[in-house]
Amino acid sequence: MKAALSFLVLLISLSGSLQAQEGFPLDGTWRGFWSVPGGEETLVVIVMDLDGENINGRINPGRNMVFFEEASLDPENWMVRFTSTSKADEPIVFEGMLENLGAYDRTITGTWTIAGVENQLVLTRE
Amino acid sequence: MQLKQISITISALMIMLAVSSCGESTTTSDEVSQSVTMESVRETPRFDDGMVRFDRVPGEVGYWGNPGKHSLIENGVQVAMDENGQLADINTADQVAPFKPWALGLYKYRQANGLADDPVNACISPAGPRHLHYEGGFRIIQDRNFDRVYMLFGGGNRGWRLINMDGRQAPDPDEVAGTYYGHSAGHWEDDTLVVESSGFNDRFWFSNGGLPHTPALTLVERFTRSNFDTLEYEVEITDPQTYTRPWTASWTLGWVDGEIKETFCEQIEAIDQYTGNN
Repeated sequence: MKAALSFLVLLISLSGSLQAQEGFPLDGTWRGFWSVPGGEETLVVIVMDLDGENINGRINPGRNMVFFEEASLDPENWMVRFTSTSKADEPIVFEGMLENLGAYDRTITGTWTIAGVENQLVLTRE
Repeated sequence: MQLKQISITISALMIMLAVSSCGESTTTSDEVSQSVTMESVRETPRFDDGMVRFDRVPGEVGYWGNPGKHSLIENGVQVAMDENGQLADINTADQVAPFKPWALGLYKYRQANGLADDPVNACISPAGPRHLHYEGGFRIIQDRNFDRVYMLFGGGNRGWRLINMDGRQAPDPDEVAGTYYGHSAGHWEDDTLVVESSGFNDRFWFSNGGLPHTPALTLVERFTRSNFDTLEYEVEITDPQTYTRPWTASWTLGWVDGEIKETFCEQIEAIDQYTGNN
């Protein structure tokens, strides 16, 4: 039992590093909850990739999916910005800072503005 | 090797001068120097049919090591860095390769934090050209019966890489699942082994120093054993998502007498947890 538990600890400790991703830092699936402080949280899932020139993105893949309209990454300060329009025709603007670049589960911390209302959002890479 | 040659040549000149001073010599210094230098450069070994042999000849031991460079750096560029690829001056980062802005930013980030995020720290193997400037050395085994070449690496995870020599092409990166060592296809151009590789994942660093790449990476490598003790290596890097244009790096490696040391990567922290040795 003790050996099995030790092995599990070993696997858990290795799991993060085994999945590391070292290329374009926005590539992948990101998840977080946006809300005003103390308000109801709303899940958002974002998939981003680089096609060589442009950052492509999808918000909430599925029936309500919408695409990025514009997206940028400033490598001087790792600020991320993208815009879109929700299915309800509400403009979306996200601005945040990419942090902990060396980690697989890096984060983008910023503001999710929808229909003119600013919300807090921390996206974590899955 | 060049130092060895110079040393032998200087020694021969000293002997010649000593003999000459005794009035016994009838040979010029140029003749002595030339003959000794020619003897010190061993010819490229070959199979019976003339094909270059990249590994040991029967009865000897040895492997390739002592790389002339310790990181990918574009040919013609002079930038100071240590054996881990850590730049002496981070302001020279943009000279190392034709980075796209995000790639230069990521390279500088990795440099600024002392390469702390290097995946080899977690026993993720170096791969691509990095194996050829990483510690540990390597061998190139030509399996002529099956039209394959194997590269056996002493560094990193002590892994091996397969190069198919049967006429197939390197795949379209979009059509294959990316791997650490990619998919390699080789052919001969005279005495040079030319290897085209693609289908890499982006979970490793393909150079000391943390130069980024994406799964769009393709490589064209040229291996030339110009004499017994010298392997000339050149690699053309194409990754349109990371670099603004294809670029080339090259260095030489030397033949090292002896066997590759038996070392293995260990993730000490994880092992300490496993053994309870905290």
